[in-house]
Amino acid sequence: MNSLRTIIVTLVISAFFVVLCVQLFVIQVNDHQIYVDKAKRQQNKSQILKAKRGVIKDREGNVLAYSKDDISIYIDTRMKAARENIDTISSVFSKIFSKPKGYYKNLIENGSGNICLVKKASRREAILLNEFVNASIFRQEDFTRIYPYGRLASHILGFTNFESTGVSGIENQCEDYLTGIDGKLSLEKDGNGAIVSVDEEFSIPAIDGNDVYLTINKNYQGILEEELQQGFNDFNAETAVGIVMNPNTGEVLALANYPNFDPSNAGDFSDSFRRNRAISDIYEPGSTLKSIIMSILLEENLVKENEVIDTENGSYFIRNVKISDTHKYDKLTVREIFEHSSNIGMSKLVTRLKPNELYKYLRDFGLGQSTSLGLPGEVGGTLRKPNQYSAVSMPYLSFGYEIGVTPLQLITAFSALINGGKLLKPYMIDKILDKQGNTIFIGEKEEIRKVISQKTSEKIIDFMKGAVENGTGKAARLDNVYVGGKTGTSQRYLDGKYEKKNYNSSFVGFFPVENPQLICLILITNPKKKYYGGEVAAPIFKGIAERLLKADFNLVPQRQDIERNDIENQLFADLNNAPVNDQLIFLNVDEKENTENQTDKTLVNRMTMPNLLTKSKRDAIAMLSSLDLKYKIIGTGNVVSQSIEAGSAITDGTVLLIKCEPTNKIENLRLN
Amino acid sequence: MQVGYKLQDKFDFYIFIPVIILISIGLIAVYSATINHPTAQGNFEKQLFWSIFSLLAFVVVYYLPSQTMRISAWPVYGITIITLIAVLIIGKTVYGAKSWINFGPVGFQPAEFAKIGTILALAVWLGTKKHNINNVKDIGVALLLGIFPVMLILMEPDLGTSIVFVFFTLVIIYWSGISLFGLFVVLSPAIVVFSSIFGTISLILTLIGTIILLFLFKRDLFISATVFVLNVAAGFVFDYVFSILQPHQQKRIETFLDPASDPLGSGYNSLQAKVAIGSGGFWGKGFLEGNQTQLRFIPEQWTDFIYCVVGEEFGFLGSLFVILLFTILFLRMLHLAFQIRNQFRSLIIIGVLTLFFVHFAINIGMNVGIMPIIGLPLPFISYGGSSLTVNMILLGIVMNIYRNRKMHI
Repeated sequence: MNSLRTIIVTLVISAFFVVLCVQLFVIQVNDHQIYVDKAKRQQNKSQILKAKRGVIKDREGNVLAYSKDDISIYIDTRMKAARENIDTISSVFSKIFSKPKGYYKNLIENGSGNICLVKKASRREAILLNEFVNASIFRQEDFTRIYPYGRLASHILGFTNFESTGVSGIENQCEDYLTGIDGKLSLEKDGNGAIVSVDEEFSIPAIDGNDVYLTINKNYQGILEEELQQGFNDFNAETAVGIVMNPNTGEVLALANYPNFDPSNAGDFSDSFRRNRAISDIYEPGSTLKSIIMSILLEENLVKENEVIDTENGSYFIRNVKISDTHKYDKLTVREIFEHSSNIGMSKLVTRLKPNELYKYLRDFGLGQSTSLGLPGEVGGTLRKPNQYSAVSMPYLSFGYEIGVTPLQLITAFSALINGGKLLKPYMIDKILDKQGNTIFIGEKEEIRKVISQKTSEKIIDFMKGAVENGTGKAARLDNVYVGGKTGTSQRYLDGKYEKKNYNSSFVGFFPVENPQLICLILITNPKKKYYGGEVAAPIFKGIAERLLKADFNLVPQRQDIERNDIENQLFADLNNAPVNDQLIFLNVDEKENTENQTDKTLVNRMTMPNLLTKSKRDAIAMLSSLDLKYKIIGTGNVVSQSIEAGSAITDGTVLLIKCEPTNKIENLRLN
Repeated sequence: MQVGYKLQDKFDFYIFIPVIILISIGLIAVYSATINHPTAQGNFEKQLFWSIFSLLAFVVVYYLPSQTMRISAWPVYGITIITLIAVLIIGKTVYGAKSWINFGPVGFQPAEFAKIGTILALAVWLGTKKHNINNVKDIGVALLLGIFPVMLILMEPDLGTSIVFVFFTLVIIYWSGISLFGLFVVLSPAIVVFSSIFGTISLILTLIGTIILLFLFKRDLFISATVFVLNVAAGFVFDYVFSILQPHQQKRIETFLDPASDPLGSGYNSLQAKVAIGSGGFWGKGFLEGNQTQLRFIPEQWTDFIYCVVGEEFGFLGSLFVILLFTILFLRMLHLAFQIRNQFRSLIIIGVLTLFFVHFAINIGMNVGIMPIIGLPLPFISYGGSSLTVNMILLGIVMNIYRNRKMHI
């Protein structure tokens, strides 16, 4: 036929042959390596093997926090396998994870890039998905931090963020120990994304995090939290703090705050719930500090136990600053000053110390400085240097003002008081073990310094026993174990002034006094109804101590039956039937001091009206209880008027009307 | 070789041997692509059966009397049209196209068999002495013979096969000795269609160009106007055709025009094919050693992307060998078409040649990344019974013509 046409067709065929040859040469010979790399990249995928976060356990091995190996499932919406199978994928997911099909459909259709279809599916559910192969679907280990006891020890444990990084508490402190090292899995994958084989040579196993054992005792912690919550509710308080420690080692056995939070859902709680007040809040310890001051005076031999001090009948001026006592006494021995927590007595005694000495001791007790417990958020505090002291700084310090401490600092200092004088570093990590059980870290008793002598320690223990047995801490007494302790009530200094009716009520107690095994601090902030440490914190301590003794028979194995003469609250005791009263002892010491102003109970003439003015309501009731008199009291605080004049004869059937108004001793004192 | 010389006179080994080698390579490639595949493991055995079956069909056609083609052309074309209409009504939908008719367990694709009828009909029409290829009416009839099955196939829709029909129709018309004006009349609608892809402005410019050329040809007004209307109609018909295409086919055309637009979507297969062939290198990775193939990165690799298996496992040498075999086959068929003095027979050969070539060019072109992804199998190599059987029947017709080439009727 037409040879021209044949030539044209031949050229077309030949030209195409040449084009194909060139193209084949380009991709198979010239660019060969590019395609080899591309093939390798898509066939050999590496997958991160996430290391499992370590477990947190209590001292007995109870698990307080662990990681559950959940799996999150993602889809790469850019892939053909995703876009062409939206219907199938949606229905498979809907079947396994029981959410409507439309939910997944919507997610895939409206998403771009990688989308999480199921967040933290359980391993059991994720396995169901294994049979469904789709190249666009991939999964990632997504651990969930579980706190099996809920809110228990929440402030100790802290919490982790969504990336499983510890944000507070032990979770943060031990972050480096708890976090393991992620591994890598080298995989050969087929075109559908299914794993064909695992390349062992290039795979690196994940190293799981280490297990942290705390010094915390879960049972103690539970008891502390329950009792603390009870007290918190009973007194409608603002906050509550409780710490239980072993005074001989510095081990923290329990530590709790109210309000608390759920570490699994920490994000739902504001900072006021998550704040570990035991280490992050400073407060003026009030009378509890008297134990420290008294131990310093004893250590320096500046006081004798039976030395009598004029306590000015409850009102004393230092440079126009009025210092008052709740219970007014004319004279008290040094021991009684401590037991009855006399501010005036302490103010006078403290002057026997040089400012430098006082400062040195307070510093040596670790007050105003971080204890270096290790938990994040611990603050120092405030301890003024002697050159910053004003004329009234020492008296104030003597009953616990002008110093800011954390509850943990105070209980640590108290431990030194009762363990023979050694200031110990408190600690909360018992040991850290790796997954093979090898010890990586071990927490040990660490003595920082010797602060007071064994002798002084024994003496102050005895004083504190007295404060519980005879003084302000009676509410902490136990039936079968002797307890020592000191109460504290301080006004809260907020927004630059001392608040009326807003107190820190505290109690630090320990037992048994013969050989202290356990020390416990209770701090209740802004309790309503009652506010004295002896009325608010001491009963909570008692509740905890009783339950701890009941729960742990190894704690104080030798228990005794204690016979006490005064079984009832002394403030309301019938004075005539209780001749062996603290006040009586004191009053007999120095009769000369008994003036006409003497209003104390033994001198009340049963036939004449006593002077109740300026007496506290409580004292007034005590005095009136010995008279056959009907009375009515209006208001609270100190007596400002009485309907029957002092000295008037009392006739049967007389009704006395007493008006009380609250006065604030510290407020008065500060006004100057 | 003494036997060969005698036999060569009746049976062209330059055509037959390359085809047998290609079928064997196809069987090896299908085996490699399906041996590790969970849903396609029986495909090698099926392909082996179809290879034998199609070889028998080839032998049968080879021995048919030389007049059979001319006699059967119109009836076969008629049956072709009927089955193409039937498939639109009772057909089975596979991959979005209504292209299969099932008779119990056996199914076939009418569009495959339509190739035979259409080539025969075109050859008969244009091979008849009384028809003048430069007569607009006769060209029109020839075009209609080709376009009618194309329209039916587009309705399935099967874009790839339609393109094949368009090409062999045009090349048969070209081979029959069309004049320059005739060629213009035939090709201008195609150019209009192509330019319309690029938007309205290019379409209008092309139509203006068409008018200018019509003036230059100085034909009478009626003919010129008819040709122009035909062009305008072609532009609109294409718009319609594009709109009835499946979304994934539209996407393929768009992706071809702008390959970077969708690397993970329609471009995925193209990229994976290139990765497979490219990573094969000069010597190839070896039989069953191609990890792109064995890890099933290319979906349905045993059909349209079978050439990747060759490229990956047998490298540059294997790939080159395959296109060399095809080129030998094409040039030999072209030589035969040139030699044959009978217009009808020559046109049949050129039609079959074009059909094979278009399949080859588009399939290998898309495998190596120089053609858009259009679903066309590689003749003799891709898996598929209908395609292989039809190709062997067509080859049988060519060989039948070779056997009878010295008869001048």
